[in-house]
Amino acid sequence: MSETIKQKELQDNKLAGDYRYGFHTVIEEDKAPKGLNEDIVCLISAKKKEPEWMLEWRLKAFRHWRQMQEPAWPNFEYGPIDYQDIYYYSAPKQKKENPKNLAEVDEELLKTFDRLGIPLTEQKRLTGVAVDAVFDSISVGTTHQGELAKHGIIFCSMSEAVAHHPQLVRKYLGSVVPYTDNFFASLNSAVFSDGSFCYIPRGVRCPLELSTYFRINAEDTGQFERTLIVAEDSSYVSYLEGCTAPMRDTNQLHAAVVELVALDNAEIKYSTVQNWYSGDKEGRGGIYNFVTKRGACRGVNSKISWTQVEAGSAITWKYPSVILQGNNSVGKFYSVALTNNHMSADTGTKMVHIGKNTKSTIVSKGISSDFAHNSYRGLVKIMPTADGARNFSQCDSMLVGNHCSANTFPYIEVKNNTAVLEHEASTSKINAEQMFYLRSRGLDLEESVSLIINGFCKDVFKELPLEFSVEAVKLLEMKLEGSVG
Amino acid sequence: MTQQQMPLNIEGLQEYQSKLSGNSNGWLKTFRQKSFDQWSAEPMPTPKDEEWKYTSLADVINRRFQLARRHQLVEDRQFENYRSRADINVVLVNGVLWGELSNLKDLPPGLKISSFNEALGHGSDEIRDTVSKLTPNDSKPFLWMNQALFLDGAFIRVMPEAEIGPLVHIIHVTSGILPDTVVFPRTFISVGESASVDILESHISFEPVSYLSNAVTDIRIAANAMVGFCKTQAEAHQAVHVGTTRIWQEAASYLDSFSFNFGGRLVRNNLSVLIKGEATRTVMNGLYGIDGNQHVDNHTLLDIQHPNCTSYQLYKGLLNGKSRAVFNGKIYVHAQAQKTDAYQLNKHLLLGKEARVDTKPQLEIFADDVKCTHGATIGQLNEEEIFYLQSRCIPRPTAIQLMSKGFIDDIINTIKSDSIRAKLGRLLLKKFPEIKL
Repeated sequence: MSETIKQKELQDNKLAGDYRYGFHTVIEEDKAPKGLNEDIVCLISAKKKEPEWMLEWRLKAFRHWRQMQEPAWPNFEYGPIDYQDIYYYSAPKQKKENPKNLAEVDEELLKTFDRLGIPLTEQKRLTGVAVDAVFDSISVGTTHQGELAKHGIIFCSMSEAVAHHPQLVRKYLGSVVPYTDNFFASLNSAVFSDGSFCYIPRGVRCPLELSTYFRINAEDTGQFERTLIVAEDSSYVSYLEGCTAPMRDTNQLHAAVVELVALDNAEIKYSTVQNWYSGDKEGRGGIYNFVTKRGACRGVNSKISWTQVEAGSAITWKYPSVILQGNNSVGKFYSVALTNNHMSADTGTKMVHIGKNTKSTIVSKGISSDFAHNSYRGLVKIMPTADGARNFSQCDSMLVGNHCSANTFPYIEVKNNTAVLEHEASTSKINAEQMFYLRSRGLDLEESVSLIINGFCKDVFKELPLEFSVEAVKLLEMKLEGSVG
Repeated sequence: MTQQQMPLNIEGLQEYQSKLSGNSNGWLKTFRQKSFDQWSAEPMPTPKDEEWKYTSLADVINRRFQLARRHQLVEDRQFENYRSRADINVVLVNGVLWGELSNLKDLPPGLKISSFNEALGHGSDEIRDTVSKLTPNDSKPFLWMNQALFLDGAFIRVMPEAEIGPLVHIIHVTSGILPDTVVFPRTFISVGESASVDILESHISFEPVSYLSNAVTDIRIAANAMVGFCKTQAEAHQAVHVGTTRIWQEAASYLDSFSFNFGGRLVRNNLSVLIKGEATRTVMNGLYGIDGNQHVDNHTLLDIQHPNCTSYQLYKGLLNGKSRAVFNGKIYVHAQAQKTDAYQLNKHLLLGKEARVDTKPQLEIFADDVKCTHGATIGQLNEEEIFYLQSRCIPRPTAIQLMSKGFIDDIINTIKSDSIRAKLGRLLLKKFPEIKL
């Protein structure tokens, strides 16, 4: 096995500039048979030893999903997905079933996360960040649980939450994204495997950054994680999400659902650096990323902010939204979407203003190079009840090369005459004069481009937590290497 | 095909079709038949269609329509007020050119105006060229319906290098009809190379009768020509107006277009400009002032297929009462259209408590060396500014008038033709008497 890893590593080093997370961990897997039917849904539920109500919910979702049609409106094309040709459950076989703590987790798995730069073992752990590591369909381990428990914070995998905190899960699961919401959310509701559950009690400011790292490893599997974050009155949490997958010639489906609930005066900050495998230069392989993310600002003065750096996936279909129900609640969306080679991204946000004096900010930066298609699609909706609502949207696109495209589809729907909205969008290329200036100061081509791109995305990067911000800058540099010249 | 299966329920359709012009004419017959087949095969759009997301035609679809039997002006006093003697007036009643009301006798050199049917009689090559070069846009069902069923139309030609001084005013009047009539105003305009002309196309009606006007205008602008084109729609409050304007712009030509909407209960305007040559300049401005339960939907498309083109677009909306405005502006820049400079802005002033706006400025860009920006704002009058005026001893109603007028004026002032500006000023006054000042 070590031989294979070495070979892989050599290969990886060669491709380091391309995608350094493209390796594959050889580990025995416990898979459900391919295909999707009620038996599979029952099997997944049984594997997770779920209570009756959870299975009922999954089956309801599955029955609803069967009536639905895959959406055809996104602004990209992809090969048909054969939903019967996917493994809906795949878990690494561990020597010990249900490891009680990280010491009991398989060496191989820990190594994998080490290579991904996510050390799970106690001594190497980054201080200040608690990690829940999800490998294919299951959560491998969650760090810092003890410390968080002292503050009354629950941070665990979804399966654990269903088992130990059913009253909370029952109350909030599906309350923001119901199982009838859309095609991919329904599919997720039926077959969701693992994900993180996070509960911040009243008045607690979470002392650590919480984070989940998602890894797809097995071939022909789909990953369907589900994350639920509940912030009680006057609490605060910052949550980070990262994701990678091995390089393969076939496409893999990833359909996740994330639900956030912020009650009175609570604040949730959700950051994502998405770096799924995006396919090779000819556009073969890569992850199909169909994600439903939605936050509900239920309480007064509550605040939800989404920050995302979308740099991977062959296809990204993602609209993190905020339902601004509580009076004076605030929704924010900061996004950088980078597409190169044959990637396509149709991403944006939805801000639905219901409460009085609600505010929302949208800053979206799209960078498109090679043969990529990058679309911003956003909705700002002011309901009749939302007196004094305020929105500011800005979406800028940058084109690098002449075979790519940048599109914006902003929908603005206003049903209240006290609303004030501003929307602006621009499309441009890297300014030749700026390039000339930087080059004349001794910076080489790549450095100049990276500096300009950094400046272009700065509004978004500064919203990211520090470690992520550094990673995001590097990620963009790596991705754009060689595309300008 | 029986009547029940048609997308729109129209009485006496077969009899009407047998009388249409072009039945003896080869290409026009095929053209009409093809359009008819296309139209009858497709259902009417519903809000489930992306292009009709915010405009429902449910009320139109459920009605039983008839075709106009008479083409005579009933109410002429108001009409006389609207028309001015200094212009070259081309008057069409219910889609048919009315020679007595038009002054087509002493046209300036280089300008040829006739009815569509007359032009067909003289040789239809030019019409065929014009029609076949224009591609359909987003309002397909209505376009097909018009092409299959239009009775007559205005055919205007400006010869190469002609400079037409007076304003050419095409007036489409709907008059003397029974309730629930459908009319098909049609206009062809062809402007030759290096020619210049100002054209105003008005759609008006004075009688309080419900009807559907399905208007289509095709304009072809040859290289280096300069065209000012303004479309005004001030129809009766019961009218439904679906207008399609297709403009074809060749190299180094200049188009200054303006779209005004004041009347009608439900109005949908499709304006598409195809850029078919390098270094063109395009201005697409618009203003809609609506109140009550009016609904105005403006869809614009600018399709840029050649390099070095510039465009400027500003649409403003003034909404009172329960009115509803929809704006969808699309700019499509093809990969070869480098050095495009496109600007688009959509502004709304919400005066009415229950006014509603749905706007979607849209960019689709495939070329990298371009400068494209768009913006949209929605707001109401600034209380601080009103307070400022009040503190200068200006009463609140006057302050509101002043500021609303300021909002409208900057766009009205972009119109170069004095004659058009004066006419629009009068319309505006009628609609919003409080903004007279």
